[in-house]
Amino acid sequence: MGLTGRRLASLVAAALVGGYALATAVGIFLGGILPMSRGEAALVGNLLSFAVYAGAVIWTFVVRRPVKVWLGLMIPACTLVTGGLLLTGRAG
Amino acid sequence: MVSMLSSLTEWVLGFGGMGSLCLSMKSHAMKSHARQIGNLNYRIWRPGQKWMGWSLLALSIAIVVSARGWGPGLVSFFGMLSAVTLLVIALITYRPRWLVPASLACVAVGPILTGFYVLF
Amino acid sequence: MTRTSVGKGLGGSPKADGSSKADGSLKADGSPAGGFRQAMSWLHTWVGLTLGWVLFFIFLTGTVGYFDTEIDRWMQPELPQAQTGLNSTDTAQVLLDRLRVEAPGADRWFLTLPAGRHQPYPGIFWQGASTKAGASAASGELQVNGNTGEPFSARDTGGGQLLYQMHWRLHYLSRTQADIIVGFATMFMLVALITGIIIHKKIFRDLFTFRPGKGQRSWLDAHNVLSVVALPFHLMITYSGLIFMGFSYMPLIVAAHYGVDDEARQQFISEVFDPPGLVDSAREPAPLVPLGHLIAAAEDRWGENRVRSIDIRHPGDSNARIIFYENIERRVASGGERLIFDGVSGELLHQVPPATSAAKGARDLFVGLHEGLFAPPVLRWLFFFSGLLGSGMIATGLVLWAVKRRQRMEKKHSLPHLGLRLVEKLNVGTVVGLPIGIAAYFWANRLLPVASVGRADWEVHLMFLAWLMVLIHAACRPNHRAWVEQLAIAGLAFGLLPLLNLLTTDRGLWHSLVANDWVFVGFDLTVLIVGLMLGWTAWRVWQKRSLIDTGEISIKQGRSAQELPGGQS
Repeated sequence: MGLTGRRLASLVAAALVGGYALATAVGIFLGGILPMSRGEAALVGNLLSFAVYAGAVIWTFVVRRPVKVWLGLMIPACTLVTGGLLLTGRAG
Repeated sequence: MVSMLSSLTEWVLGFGGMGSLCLSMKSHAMKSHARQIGNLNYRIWRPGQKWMGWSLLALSIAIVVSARGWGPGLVSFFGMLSAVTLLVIALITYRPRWLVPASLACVAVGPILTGFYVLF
Repeated sequence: MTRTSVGKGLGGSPKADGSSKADGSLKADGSPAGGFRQAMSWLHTWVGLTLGWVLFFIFLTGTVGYFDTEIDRWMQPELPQAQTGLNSTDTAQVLLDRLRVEAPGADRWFLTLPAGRHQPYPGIFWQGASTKAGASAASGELQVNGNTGEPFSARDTGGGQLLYQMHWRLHYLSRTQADIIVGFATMFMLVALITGIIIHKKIFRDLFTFRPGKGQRSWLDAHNVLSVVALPFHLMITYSGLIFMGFSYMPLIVAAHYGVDDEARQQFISEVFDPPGLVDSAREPAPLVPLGHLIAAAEDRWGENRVRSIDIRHPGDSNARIIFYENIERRVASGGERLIFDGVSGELLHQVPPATSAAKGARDLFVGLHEGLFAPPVLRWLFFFSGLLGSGMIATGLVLWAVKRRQRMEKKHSLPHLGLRLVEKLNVGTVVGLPIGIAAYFWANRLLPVASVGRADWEVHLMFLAWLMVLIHAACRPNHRAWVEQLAIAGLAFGLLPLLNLLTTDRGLWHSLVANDWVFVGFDLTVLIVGLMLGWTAWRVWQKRSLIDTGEISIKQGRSAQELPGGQS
């Protein structure tokens, strides 16, 4: 199982795009659930999202299996965005 | 505002601390001809230098935080630490024999300066 | 590409290769032992290399930016020494009079008082003025002589501000392009730092270890030392850089809760950052309250000359509000206290603490640490010095990548592949080329005619043209010659700046020393020392070809390894 060009490209894309999606999703989720004003919660989400991004990039290259990585990033991302937005909708 | 004395104390303690920590390592100690350390002596030397090093660094933090407050104090401490560590590395690399006297001098002078700082 | 072939070459024996900390190999599928560390090592290598030269640019120009206002002043030698001693009340009146002339009918007047090194001269700034009513422009900015009330006239220059702005604006690019490039570069830096910590097995044991004259080994030692010695700074500056631009880099987080249009974004900004009590214009004229007793009230609270600036919203309207900003030198977190007065009655409406919420406080702390505006002189030098260590960390990492591959290639008696040669050229052309470009910026400031049109633009063009020339030079010359020649040029370019300053202005080093003008003395001496160090490096590299090219020769020539007992574990 060599790391061929296509597999590498998929991993890099997963790290950059999938990681960004997850980081944004965590930020949105925190913005929705944290028990403070809407603006502050969004700010906290923003502050922490970069740590999530870095973690996601590193995790991608620990796992090194494109399918697992893509699913592992995108499923939580979609769940968190949906959850965060639903909670915001309720609050607003 | 921030007295010269507190800064001087912070730096002397910092250099003494990092110098001691460096000399607590056998390879560096032997390179600096600290003494002909046998295994037995080294067993005493190493923890002694380590304790000395960490205590001086802790004292240095205490001084700088009391002089400047937590925020500016810690920032100043880490900046100072980078500078003195680089100095220790330069000495152990290019003038290894100078490190022992320089470090010991700071170990001796640091607490005296601390005393002055506390008194005044 | 080469990545997979390198991986195959070493894939068989992950454990035997324990010394290769930053090796560019990725084992195909991680075996439990060593697989994790090797993956981290691979990631470290490639996130470091891919945008390494951009990162070097960001770090070095940002580091120079710690002396932005000092450079501003050197680049406008027509200006007098700092006017920081002036009385606040008189200065505010002078500025207000100037605003009435320059910006009648404006929506916002901003008065900058000469509060310290970051604001050496009084200044004004306005928005939404009416040119029909006689304003010189709808919005504008001026430095004003606090003694005469006249605007300063000095040569047109981007100054230190432009040099510092470059580190996140990348000058020629649009804001969006720059945000994308700088954002990813900074993210790569963060990942490189974390993976670097993971793969460096004995951070503390190796902290004091530097073994010169051993080729690749020495470059790795140097890279480790520069990284670890200022690790708290590197982590702080990288994460705070991300946070600083966080709303641009991660816009969707705020958008999800507020909406995607500009108005929604403004709503968020005003909720989190604006002081309370601001109102829209009432469109009813009313005279502005005299500032004198408001300044007295603020100084009673903060101390003499500790008002940093005065922000007047809707001057001359019945809904006018005046915001006083406290000076920022006492706390690390950016921003001080704010006082909000009614602009007609002069009543104090709100006292706003520096951090209105814990979240804003955390962001302010990171931003304050990043900018270092609070730092008094010694600490400012330590910030500068840490920034140089960071630039050195990036530079040694880039060189290490090339040295390692060249050594491996020479072992196999094969020719250097295109990637290696490109990296080598970019290394010298950036690590030495960018400093040459910065020196060219300073030379252009003194040599371009003071009255010429567009001189400020040409200063920057000449900086990048000089850098381009250096890159072309690097491409044409053999690697070792390129390093020596460029280091020598850089040494001369910086070392001769004090002479240039002496010849083109009346503020040479001796004059500045006599006049106690420490900004000019500091600039001249700093560039002189930088020049001498670059020249010395050029001489060392010229003497020792092996420093740059390959580790093999130097290991044979160098002193025997037995001299360092404990060096190998």
